Amino acid sequence: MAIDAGRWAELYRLEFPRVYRALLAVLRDRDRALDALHDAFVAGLRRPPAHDADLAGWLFVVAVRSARRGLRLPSLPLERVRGRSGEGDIDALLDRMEVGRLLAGLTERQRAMVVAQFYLGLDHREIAAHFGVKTGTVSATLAQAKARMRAEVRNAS
Amino acid sequence: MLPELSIERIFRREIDSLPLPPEKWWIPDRQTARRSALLTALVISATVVLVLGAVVTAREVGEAAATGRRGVTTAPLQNLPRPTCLRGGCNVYRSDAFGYGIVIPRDWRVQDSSRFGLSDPSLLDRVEFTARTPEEWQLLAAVRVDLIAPWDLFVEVHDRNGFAASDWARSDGCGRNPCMVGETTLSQSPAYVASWAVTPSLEMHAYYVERGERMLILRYVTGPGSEGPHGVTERTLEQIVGSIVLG
Repeated sequence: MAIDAGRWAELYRLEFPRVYRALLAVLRDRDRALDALHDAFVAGLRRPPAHDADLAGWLFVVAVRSARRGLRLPSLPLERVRGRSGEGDIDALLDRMEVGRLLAGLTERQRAMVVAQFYLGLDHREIAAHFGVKTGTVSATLAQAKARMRAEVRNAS
Repeated sequence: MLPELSIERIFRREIDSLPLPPEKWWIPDRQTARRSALLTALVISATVVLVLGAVVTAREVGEAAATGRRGVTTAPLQNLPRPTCLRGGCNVYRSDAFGYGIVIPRDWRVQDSSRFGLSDPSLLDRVEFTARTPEEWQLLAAVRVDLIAPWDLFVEVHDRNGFAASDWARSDGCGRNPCMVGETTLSQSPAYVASWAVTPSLEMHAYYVERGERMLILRYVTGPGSEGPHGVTERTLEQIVGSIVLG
């Protein structure tokens, strides 16, 4: 059944906290995360996903793609700019967290897939479908990422 | 050893502790959504512009004098230095209400920018200058009516609301995108300059001038290394910006 605009906004709000935090972990930047999620919201308004199952995964991947493109025209309300506590605050926060340190050594693409699996709970097949790649590519990317994270754990201990 | 179960637990516990923005920011406002649509239009229009540029350049000289596209409403600035005219002639656009005058090439005109509306509450005035003919604009509008056209110059006046020029630049996209910033002077007033990519082939250039409680912004989008319609180049736009006289 098609998702109308009202239902879309309702579902988006429900998923916002999880997807926004996932984006923060991947992008390490509040503005990029919020802009990217806004882009995903607008994309869903124009062409909503076929069904509302796994909406978090859909929003996450659309947002990650949008962030990669980095295509924006002026959009931020000024109070948002003024209200920020500093460019590096999320970076610093993540650096103090175990997750942040594990993810820091990964590429953005590896981070996106790792967060999709371990935080959003998507399996390899779902990640492959969302990112538009083969399951084998997901498996290989995640294997490389886990190897790097294991190395990070070994170094830390 | 990095058991996956423990990774998931760590991920959920730690990522769930990351701060959220205020709820009022979760859904983009109409302006943001509109601007997102503008971006799409910008990309589409860039393609159209390239096509139009090729067509128009060939007939530019012959038509320049014949068409009615030069109907700019202009007035000479009183008691202000008259900057050098570009390409052998110029018009002076003067805004008494907002205290500025700017020199545009003779074959440029003011384009009605009401298509953008005034949904930005801080926006007091916006004037768009273009080298395109009304006919070319009709072609562009057929693609998308609310587009921001590359190679046009926009002069905006906003309520500054206490924000500094650098805040305005960040609000516009500088900082979230890789951004070049600098300082210059426009009509002896300090100006903050920022440039950033809005698509892989187009760059936004913006000048921010604090004018008491107002912020004057001059902006344009170009394709670096390329040329706009009617031979407009980055140098043309820089010269127009540099010609501004602030009252």
